[in-house]
Amino acid sequence: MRVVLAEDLYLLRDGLTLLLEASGFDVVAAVSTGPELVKALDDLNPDVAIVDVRLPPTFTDEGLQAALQARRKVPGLPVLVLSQHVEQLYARELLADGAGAIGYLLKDRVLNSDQFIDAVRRVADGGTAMDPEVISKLLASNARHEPLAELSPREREVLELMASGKSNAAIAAQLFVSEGAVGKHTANIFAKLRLVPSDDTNRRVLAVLAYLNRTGA
Amino acid sequence: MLREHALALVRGLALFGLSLVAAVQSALAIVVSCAGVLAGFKRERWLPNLVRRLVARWTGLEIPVPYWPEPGPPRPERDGWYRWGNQLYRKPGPIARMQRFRWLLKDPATHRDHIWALTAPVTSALTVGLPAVLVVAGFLVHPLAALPMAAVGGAAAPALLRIYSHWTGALLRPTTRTGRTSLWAWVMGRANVLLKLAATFGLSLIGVVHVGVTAVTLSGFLGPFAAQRQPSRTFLNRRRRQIGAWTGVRIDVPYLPMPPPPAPRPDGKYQHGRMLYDSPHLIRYTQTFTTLMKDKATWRDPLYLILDPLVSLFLAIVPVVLVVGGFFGYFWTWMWSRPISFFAGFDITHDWGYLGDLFPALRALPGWLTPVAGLAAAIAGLLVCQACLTAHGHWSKWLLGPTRSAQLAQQVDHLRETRSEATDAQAAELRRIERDLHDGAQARWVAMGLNLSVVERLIDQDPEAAKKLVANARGASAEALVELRQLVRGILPPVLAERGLGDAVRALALDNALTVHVAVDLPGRVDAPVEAAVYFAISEVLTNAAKHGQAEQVSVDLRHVDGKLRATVADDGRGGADPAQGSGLRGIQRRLATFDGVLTLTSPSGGPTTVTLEVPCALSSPRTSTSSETA
Repeated sequence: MRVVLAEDLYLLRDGLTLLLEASGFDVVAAVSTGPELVKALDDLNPDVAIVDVRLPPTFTDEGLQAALQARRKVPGLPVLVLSQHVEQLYARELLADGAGAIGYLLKDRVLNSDQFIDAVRRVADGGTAMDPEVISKLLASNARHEPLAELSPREREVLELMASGKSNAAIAAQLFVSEGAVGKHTANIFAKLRLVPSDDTNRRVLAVLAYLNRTGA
Repeated sequence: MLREHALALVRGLALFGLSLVAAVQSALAIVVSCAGVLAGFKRERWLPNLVRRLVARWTGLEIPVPYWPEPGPPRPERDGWYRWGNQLYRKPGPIARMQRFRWLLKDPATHRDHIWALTAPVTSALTVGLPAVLVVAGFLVHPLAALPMAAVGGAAAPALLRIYSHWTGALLRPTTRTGRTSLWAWVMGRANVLLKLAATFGLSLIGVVHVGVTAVTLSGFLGPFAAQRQPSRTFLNRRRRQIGAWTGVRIDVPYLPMPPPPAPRPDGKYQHGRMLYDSPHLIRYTQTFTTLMKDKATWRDPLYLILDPLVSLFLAIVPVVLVVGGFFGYFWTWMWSRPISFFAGFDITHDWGYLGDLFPALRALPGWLTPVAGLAAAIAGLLVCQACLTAHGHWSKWLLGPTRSAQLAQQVDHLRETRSEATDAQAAELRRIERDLHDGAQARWVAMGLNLSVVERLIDQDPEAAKKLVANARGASAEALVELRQLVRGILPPVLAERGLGDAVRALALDNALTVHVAVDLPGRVDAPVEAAVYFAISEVLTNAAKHGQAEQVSVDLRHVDGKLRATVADDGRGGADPAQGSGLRGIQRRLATFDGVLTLTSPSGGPTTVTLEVPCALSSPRTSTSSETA
């Protein structure tokens, strides 16, 4: 799988390249500035891009803008955005096109290499990987809205994991319950939030995220 | 046919009689009202009402009752006091009286009633009363002549009744005219200005007294307190405000700040130079005196007080003489001299009164020019009076306003104050960051380092234990990262650095548990320090709204207007916020003051609360960001 990596800190860029190549990815470009990233995304047409939000030369949201621009050109281009901080505002912008294949994680998550590689794979396959912190912020700012307040604590837990992009199997493994039990919970959640249930994990995640972003409004 | 005429005749005579009663009654009510008793105005209304009803019944011409509804009893405010304008009263009585006054005096129907009643004897005598008048006149000529006159009157009676009813209806029905005409309003406005000009001259005469007051207080005859207080300064400060209100020329207070009261030494004595004193009074007097002597305004004030009567006399006399002499002297007396000379047989005025004595050539002009010239002079006076008043404002500002050096001195004072507050705030911030780093991340990294050094020793002998320690170290590093992230947010939120104020406030709104509507109209980026100050101020205000105000909906409006960044935060909470009672608003005020920014708060008890922050600043780089959204 061909990866373009954009990260301005040399140590982190090197470490990530090592980690990705050790996990069987092919890092076709590891760049350190915004313009380089735009060029690499244009020329190399990678399977997934891993992008730091803040890049030279402006050190603002250069990386994010480049990623959004590339996705406008190639809809659904898998992009995993990394940042030192996560914002609901950016998450909304990334999810706005509803095409999926989006990841938005804190850089800390790189420390847990297995989960990180799993997230990269999920995004490359068209799935979603949202940082638990984004999800908990989304839920917190929605906490007072009616349907969410009706969820049981367990259902909230499942919703959080589901929204971060995990499959039923992964949720079951994390919560130490059977996959069937998770299935029942998700059915309940969808009923309570009045969403149309779907067996497709990716579509399901996008529906939940869209719901949370909408009720935020 | 005959019956109709007879009925109209009787009805007309009844109305004629009522009109005579109305005239007497109105005259009485007006005379009594001059003594401040308005009860007559209310009681006399039975008669116009009766006339309205009679006219409606006899001629079918409906005349609606035009009076304003009577005011109800005054209602107390929440705190039990009664409010009238900006004045509070303990008891409702005075307000009820004032309400009645206004109700009766401001109602145009009251005055139209009076016009109707006072003219009714004449108008009715010429219409409905005409048959009676004709009979009496005929009888006086020859007793037999009364009969044909009565016949004529009876024949005309229905038509006369209709004419009188229309006239009555026109005056007694509600008027559609809400206020005076614009010409009348203009004349009254100018007359007001004229009065102010005259009052300006009067006040300048009172000011002359204060030259003496200044001299006495400066000389120290009245003791150190008088020097400190300076009653003439109080007087002039009031004059500054009043001139500003009347002329629209704002005059700032020019005085240097008074020295702070001397502080005692540890042994309780007060030191001044090389001398020690038991009490602070003498030092205080000396310092006050020195400041007063140094202050240029101390010398400009008496100069103004001495010159102002001359200047304001010069400015006031032209329009006042033009209006009073022109209108009353030439126009008004000329108007009245005609009917008076008609009855009395002599002329009370000569054409071109005093001016004619000065310039005999004027007498050669035709007489009708006199009132025309008078009216023209009056209009000219009304036209120039505003300019004269404004000129007085500028003249006052020239001597009473701060000189350039006084302005600079005041500015330096203000800057010194805000700078010291800014450096204090900065120092406190640095201390907080240092403490957070010291107790948080730094400590965690020490622990991590320790852990790793143990791992180094254990890794060969006990790999299992070493693995556990490495996992611990990773956990500690993750926690340290979380802490650092929070610390960074407190120093400068990353979104603010990456996207600027608009998006940072939007992100803030998204993370807030309240429903926050954000509207941003900033065609560029604001200076970074201002941006941060306003961001933290808005954040604090939002926190307050949720914590103290129990709000649910908040709207934030950010825009750049007239060279100022303006943020308006309005919530639907219970209000009652007061910067004096802590709650962080004072802190925001202080921090904004560094940028000459101001915070205004309106928060009546019961809500809603609106906080407006205004900071003068420029916008850079035309990156458009205009949108509105809700979180």
